[in-house]
Amino acid sequence: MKSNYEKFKVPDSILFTVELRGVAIINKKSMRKYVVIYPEAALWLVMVEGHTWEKTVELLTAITGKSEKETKNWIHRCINKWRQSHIIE
Amino acid sequence: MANLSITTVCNKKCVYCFAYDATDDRGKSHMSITTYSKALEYLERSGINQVRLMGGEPTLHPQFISFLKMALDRNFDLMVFTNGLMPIKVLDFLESINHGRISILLNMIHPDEGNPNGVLKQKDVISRLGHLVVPGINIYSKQFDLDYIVDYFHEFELQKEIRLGIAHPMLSRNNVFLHPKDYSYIGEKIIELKKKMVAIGVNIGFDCGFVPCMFPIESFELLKEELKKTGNCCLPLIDFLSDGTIISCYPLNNLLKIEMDDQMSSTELVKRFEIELELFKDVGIYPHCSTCPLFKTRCNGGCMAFRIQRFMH
Repeated sequence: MKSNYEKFKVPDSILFTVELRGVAIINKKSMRKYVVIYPEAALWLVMVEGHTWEKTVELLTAITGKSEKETKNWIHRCINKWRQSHIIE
Repeated sequence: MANLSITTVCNKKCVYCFAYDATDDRGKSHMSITTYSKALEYLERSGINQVRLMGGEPTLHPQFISFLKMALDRNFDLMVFTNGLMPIKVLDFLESINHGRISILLNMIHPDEGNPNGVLKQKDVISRLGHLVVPGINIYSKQFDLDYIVDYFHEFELQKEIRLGIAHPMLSRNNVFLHPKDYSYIGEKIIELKKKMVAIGVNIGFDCGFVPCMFPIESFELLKEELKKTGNCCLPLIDFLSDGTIISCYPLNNLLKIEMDDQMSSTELVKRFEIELELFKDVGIYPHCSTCPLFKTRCNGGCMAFRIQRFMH
């Protein structure tokens, strides 16, 4: 899980902005739009700030109120989902 | 609607200028008569009956008078966007033709701007062309004073209209612009101005980028006419630059430039710009726009340049 997290990269074609409802993301290459709603949006913002895996898990555990194990699994699922959508590499 | 930026030359250096890339000193150029003719043909083809001449300062184009005559001969109405610091021969010409089909949108120099000669020159222009003149004010800071314009209506015979614009950010450089966080503050000032304008029978017209939420709901009745257009005018415009390229508006000028084509109509051009801007249409100038009940009904979210600027990598 940690290595899955640490390998992520936001492609150059991706732009995003923080909205009240979450994070609005656009892919200039595919011309597609996405909205990542909270709490996934919180994960996105923590990730793009470049926090370590340990810090990200700590922050998201506090934000979501889940256990550390559940949080790790949830982060893993979000990352996989975003990779499939090509908003991260 | 389409604007023709016939020259990049300007004799003012407004801090908020959002036509700067079209007026860059490094590349001064005037629109050729061939390009101008093609632009007029485009307007005719697109069913647009008004020629809107901009710059730079359009009156500094060496063939400005010929350009006016060409447009009038082809039965266009004309609107000239000027700072008023125009050559005497242009002023004499405009005064002599006294044409009902010409309007002068005069970008006002604020009395506190430190340009007393400019203010005097503008007053001279207004005293001679007042019946053609619509004063225009570009609001570029929170501290902006609007009240000075009331005196002009007492002193001169102007058209019974005033145009208010908001200075918008340019994507290609850092100009001074009014930040959306200050819109509601300016909205209060506009309400005060509106009350004074109502008293003297002057209408206010809003340029692009105004949004309904910059005004308190209780003022909606007072601003009923202005609000009919507010929030929905940030659609792709067509701006012809002096070199013959076409952009959708000045602040977005580095986003997409299209070479003028002899067959192209406004519908096709607007469609091409809309495709380019489509990605950014789901956000507004504020993070809460996309959850606002007015979004995409009465308001499209404000200036597209600011909306694009909100995005980061």
